[in-house]
Amino acid sequence: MKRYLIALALVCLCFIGCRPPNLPDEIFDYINSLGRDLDLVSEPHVDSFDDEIFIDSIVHGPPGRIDLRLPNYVYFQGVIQAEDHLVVAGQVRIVGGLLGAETGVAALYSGAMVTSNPQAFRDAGEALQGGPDGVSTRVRSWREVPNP
Amino acid sequence: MMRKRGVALVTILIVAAALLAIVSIGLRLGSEGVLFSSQAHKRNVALAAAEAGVYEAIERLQVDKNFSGAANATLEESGASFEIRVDNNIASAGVAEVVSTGIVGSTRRTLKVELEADASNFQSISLGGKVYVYERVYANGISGTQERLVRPGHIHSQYASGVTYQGQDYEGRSIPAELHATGDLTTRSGSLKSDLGVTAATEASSVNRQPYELDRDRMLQDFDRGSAATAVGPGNVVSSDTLLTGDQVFANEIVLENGATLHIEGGYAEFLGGVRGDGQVVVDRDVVIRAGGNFDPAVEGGIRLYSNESVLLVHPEVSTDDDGFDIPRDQNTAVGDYFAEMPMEAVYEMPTGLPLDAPRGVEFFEWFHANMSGSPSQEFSLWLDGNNTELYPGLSQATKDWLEKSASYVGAMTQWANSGGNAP
Repeated sequence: MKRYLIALALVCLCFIGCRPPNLPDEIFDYINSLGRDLDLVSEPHVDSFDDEIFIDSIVHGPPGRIDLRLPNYVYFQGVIQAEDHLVVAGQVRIVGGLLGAETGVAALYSGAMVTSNPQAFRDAGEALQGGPDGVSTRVRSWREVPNP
Repeated sequence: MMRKRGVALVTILIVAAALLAIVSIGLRLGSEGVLFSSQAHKRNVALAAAEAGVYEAIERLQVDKNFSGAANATLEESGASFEIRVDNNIASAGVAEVVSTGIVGSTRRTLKVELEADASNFQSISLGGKVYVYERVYANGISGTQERLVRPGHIHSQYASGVTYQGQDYEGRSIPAELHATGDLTTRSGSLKSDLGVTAATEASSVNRQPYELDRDRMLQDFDRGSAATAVGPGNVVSSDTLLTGDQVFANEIVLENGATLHIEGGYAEFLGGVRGDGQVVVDRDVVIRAGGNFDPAVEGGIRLYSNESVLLVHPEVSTDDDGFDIPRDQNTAVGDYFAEMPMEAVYEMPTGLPLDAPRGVEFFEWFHANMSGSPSQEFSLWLDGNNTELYPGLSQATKDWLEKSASYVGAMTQWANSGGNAP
């Protein structure tokens, strides 16, 4: 009987105390609070570009210019802001920016990549608030004009 | 006798007058040349003063991004002065216009310059909370989707309650947690990282940097609820302001056209086919996105997506199970990892001085290893090690190391290439 009770206690502890190993506590609690099952099913992914074109863009292309595509990667173009938690899982390339997690945490997994793109922020216009007091600029155009 | 002396006097007077005229003309031409040089000099000094005015405007914006209006100053050494007028629309239109006039006496020259915020202002990742890192994660940057010049990618968090960047083991795999940033890694906390390998330009803690954020109210400022569409348009295109109420699950890719706002009011949104375009998405609850494989180079900025709760962005091959997220690893992910780790400088170095016989595609890496292990050609050695000239600068050690590392990936790359980009 004693052994049975100990085994039962261990099983209960396991259910209560064991959290999934690949989730931070905060994300585990958040997913449990969703009120729905997050049933994501794996779907096959096939790259839509040719290996020669991709490798050539790096090796034979104009110096300094990169091809933003990567083998096996998928993409989100733009800026993401989440007030609470942020999770990026797998070989996902965000071309823009990743903001937020003010009241939560960020969990970045296995190939997650964020590539800053200033145009994504400029396009936000006045919806983009905050940031540092000063701004670093570059010249877009420069010409001499008649005196005013 | 008297007649001959009179003729001599007249002759002398004529010659003297001629000489005087020649000297006068010479002096006048000389002074005009001096005047010309003097005027050209003043114009050059005025232009330099106008340029100084432009740099003054750039410096003022570095201190105060809202600086606008007029300013002037005198340059000590030359005595020239400049007057600048700054019309600052960086926040709304992305551009500040600077008109700078350089002044030297009565000489003036004016420059008109347009300035835009450059890539260094924007963090790749700018957060308020703790960051958990599983396996390899990357931050980098570009100048824009048209130019695609490499820029540093910075990571910052305002988290101040302990270790900010926490490495975590992914159960059942032995890939250590690593964070690769081509720019700076910083945190407001006094404690930067734990159990985490880091590659970054600089690492610093106790850095207080106010983050940018999307303002939900401003995103919806011009959103007209009364005239908004109440359903996504044909072809899953959102072409105008659209208001959807309650939980939304989109099985197919949603495309937002420029200027359109999709507002999910009071519910969550699951974009299981992805979401792309140029508009805005505002979701009152959480968002799940299964990202798509189409990268559109014509899109310059992309979507502004705001969630009042959380966002989960996943690769299509990721699933959820009892362990959390099941993220498969195979030959394709290995190839993706290899190219994700490419050093920034490699894209500058590899094309420069590349031998003409360098093959295309995966064969390039086979050619590299064949030369490294055998007798390299003179052209190959020149490309690899350079000769301290601009034509042949050589490869940096980081690029060489990355190319050497490809030896263990060539098989996977070949399979990836032969299978239309996706190995079985």
